[in-house]
Amino acid sequence: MDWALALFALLTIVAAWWGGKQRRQIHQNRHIATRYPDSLYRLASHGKGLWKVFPKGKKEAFYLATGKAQGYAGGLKVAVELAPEGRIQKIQVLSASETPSYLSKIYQSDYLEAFRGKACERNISRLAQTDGVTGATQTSRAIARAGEQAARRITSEFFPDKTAPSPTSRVKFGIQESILLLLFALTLLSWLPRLAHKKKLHRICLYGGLIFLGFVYNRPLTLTQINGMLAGHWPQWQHELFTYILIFATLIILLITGRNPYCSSICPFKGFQDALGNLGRAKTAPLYNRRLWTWIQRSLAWGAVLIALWTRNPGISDYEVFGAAFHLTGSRIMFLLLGIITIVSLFIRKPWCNFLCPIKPVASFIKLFRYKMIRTWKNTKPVKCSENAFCSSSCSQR
Amino acid sequence: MFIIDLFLKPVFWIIMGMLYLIMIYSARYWAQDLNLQMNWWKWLLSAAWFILLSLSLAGGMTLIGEGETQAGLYFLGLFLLIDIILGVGLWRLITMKSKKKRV
Amino acid sequence: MADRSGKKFNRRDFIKYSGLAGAALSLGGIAGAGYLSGRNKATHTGWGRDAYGGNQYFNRAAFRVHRPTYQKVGPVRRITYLENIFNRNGELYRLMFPRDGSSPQWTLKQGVSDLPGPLRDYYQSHPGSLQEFKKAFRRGQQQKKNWKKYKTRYLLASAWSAAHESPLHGKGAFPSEPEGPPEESDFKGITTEAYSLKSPGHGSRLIKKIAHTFGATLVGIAPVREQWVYQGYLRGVGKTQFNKPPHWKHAVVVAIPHEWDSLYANPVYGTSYDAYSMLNFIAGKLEVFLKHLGYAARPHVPPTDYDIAMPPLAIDAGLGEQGRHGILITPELGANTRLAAVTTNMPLEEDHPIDFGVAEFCRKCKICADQCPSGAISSAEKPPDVIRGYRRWAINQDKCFTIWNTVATQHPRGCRVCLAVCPYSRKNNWVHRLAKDVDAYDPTGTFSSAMLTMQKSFFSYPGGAQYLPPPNGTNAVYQKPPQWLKTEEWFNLD
Repeated sequence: MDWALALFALLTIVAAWWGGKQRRQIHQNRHIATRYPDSLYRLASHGKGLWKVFPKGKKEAFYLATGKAQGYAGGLKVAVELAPEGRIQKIQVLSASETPSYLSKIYQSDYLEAFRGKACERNISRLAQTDGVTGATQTSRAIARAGEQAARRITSEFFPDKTAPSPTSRVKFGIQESILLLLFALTLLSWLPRLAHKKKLHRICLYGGLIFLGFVYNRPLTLTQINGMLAGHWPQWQHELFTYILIFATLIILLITGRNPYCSSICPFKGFQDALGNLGRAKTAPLYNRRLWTWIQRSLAWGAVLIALWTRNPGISDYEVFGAAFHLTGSRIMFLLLGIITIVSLFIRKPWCNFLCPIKPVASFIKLFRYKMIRTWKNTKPVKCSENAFCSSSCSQR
Repeated sequence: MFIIDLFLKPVFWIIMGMLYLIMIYSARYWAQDLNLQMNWWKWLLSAAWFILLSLSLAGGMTLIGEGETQAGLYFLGLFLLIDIILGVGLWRLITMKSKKKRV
Repeated sequence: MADRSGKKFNRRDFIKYSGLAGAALSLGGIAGAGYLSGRNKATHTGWGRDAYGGNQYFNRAAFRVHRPTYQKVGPVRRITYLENIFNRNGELYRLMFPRDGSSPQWTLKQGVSDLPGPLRDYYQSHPGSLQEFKKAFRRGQQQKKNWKKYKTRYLLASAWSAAHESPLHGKGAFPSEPEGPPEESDFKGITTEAYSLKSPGHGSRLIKKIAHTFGATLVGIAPVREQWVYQGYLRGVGKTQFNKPPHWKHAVVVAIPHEWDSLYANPVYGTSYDAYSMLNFIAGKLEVFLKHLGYAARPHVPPTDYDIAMPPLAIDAGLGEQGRHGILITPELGANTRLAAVTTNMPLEEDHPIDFGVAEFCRKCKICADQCPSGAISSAEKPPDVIRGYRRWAINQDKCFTIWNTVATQHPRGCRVCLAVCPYSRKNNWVHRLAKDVDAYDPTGTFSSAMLTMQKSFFSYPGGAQYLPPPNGTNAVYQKPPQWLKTEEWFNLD
């Protein structure tokens, strides 16, 4: 039963992913088509997101490409027109799931105008580092990055000698990454059998996570991040090493050991609830229909993934309260939910983990596949389990 | 308007003073009946907690009165949450000691 | 305690439960008191009930510093005539629209090199400034066309502003323009010999009291330093190079706020003229008062009738410090501080400058820079510019003026969003008073950081461009406009 449902979930997710991709392509070309209508232009495609444009009439042909980057609240898509001699002719924002006030700030300023006439062999994103628009810095930088990507698309195809030097980004490995690795190491250590002070070590990890991943750096693992990656928004690894370590270390440890290091002792929000629970001597929720709750939790996570992949906008289906808790950003409903969870945590153990968190179902989903795989690998008779496969493999979290 | 003037006038604060007096007077009985072994620092902390609660309410409502409704609600949300957490902590502190003594 | 004799509701229970009820009622009472304290108009500093100087409540003695908080980093020089945007715009207008009706000597199509001598020099050394003037001019024409669309909605605001503006110009203007050199005009109207004061301290205390009764919210006395005196133009004389007249010994600096409700509804509902006209009255009356006692006096009043730069003078007088938006921030009024001064030779005791932590606060806050629709306010960590020898915050005047010409008002009469959003510009009720006072006494800045976090996460701001008319914005205002400035509340509009 579980297995069938899991397969069904996997199929729907793949379908949503594929559907979202198709949808986006139609979408993408629609933006171009409305801005460059057939009546005025003839577009010759030269690969993904790259065109040579022949304006009808006597005007000279020019090159057109699109690029995208992550702004403040979401992805930005930018189109760049390059004149035949290799200078930027125009730069415009095609679509953005960006906070409107930031965008209007850009339009109000002369920011987009400033790119006109810039030679394509220059790194335009570097120009923007210094003078972004006040109050919309992230947005303006994203536009510049996307513009540079688009320009590079054109130059690598049509002017290989003029391609701007790739931005050589140094790998950022600092104190944040070190602390994260330390937390993973301590978690693994605390799992060693016959270790003294096991509980203490576990506590250290948990509250270390709360302090550093939570209050100091505000960087917990979120489903939105994972959705973003599934949807194709892979952040530049040199800048986002932290996120990659967080996701892949969790995944690898989960696949090897079958235990989820993040949920058991790193998650800052678990630490938060744990601290409150200890303060209020919280009890485990006395529930008769635990399985129903588990399935509600799983359905929520499943729905969030589907919506994110279909719309290609992970921000839409974000219901995680971490942002509200540690970064003080989020909608009013988010803050309300956070408030309720905080109060409930005082009396019931880990209400978020047990009833709402989307990370736990994702982890058990992966664990189920791991379990199946190992079983097929060993080619042994299925082990009779006291409970179902999901539960037995998620014992470590209890 | 009379009602509004009342809040700004001494009569209002005299009534408030009386309410506080009754509250303080009854607190002793509550502590006895709930078997709380109160001492000076517990009373001090409880009083501090109540003052914090009052100020949180008054602060949030002041912002709402100024027309900053959203800020007022967030203010109330945050500080009442802190008050509840501190209240639970305080309750544990008060009851913890009494249990140890009784055992 | 088991003296509960039967089911009767005994005395002990009565006290217990009335105590509980008392606690609940007291919480309700405190919430109500808080709400009404927030609504209370009497806490609008300077517009409340507290006259006779009661609004100047801040304990400045605790924050006295020997040196003013502006940073001198190089050779100092005086402000020249063309460095004032109104003067250079005036010069350009006179070229474009000559008074005698002759053909224009310069048009928007021409460039810097076509301008006559000093103007050309100015614009050549300030690249982009002339460009911005042209932009502002075109926006001004658009603004005139737009007004048809917005006239009805902002009619009351416009009428209110015009009423405040009326005493400032023309024949009946008070105080009247100085005529002739200061050595004459500042003494005109003196009917008696100067009375000998018991001490300069007596002089200061008297003049402050009088200024408060004339309506000044804040009063301070500063020495007149020549470095703050404008150069190149002297009222009553005209364009001239001059030194500070010796009888400009002290300046009585007065400050009042704009009306608060309309201030928070800037740019479209607010005006500068409410405060300006009151300052004209206060300074003009002080002039008459001083001359009646036998002392020379010369008022320096807004909008443009100054011979001295006001903010540094007010800093010297201990009224406040300069903020990121270039405007004086006072502990009582925040950035909602408008200034005028009267220079006199009356012996007065000078006040000390103060430092209540504005520099550090402005470094962290940046709300005004984020909200400014023109981008004229720097969001740098430190003041990036050295202005006439001082490292200080300075706005881009030209960009700011462009926005005056863009917002949906009848004519360019300002924006003032930076005054309204400044966290120091708050009512004098217990919450804000507590926050401002604790911050002033906290040397670590932790408190202000916490307050700023709350300010930025709890309060919502429209955001820079939203203050502009469509298509770029939505004519947003910082807070809701007061009922008494909304045309639709009072008139049949259909």
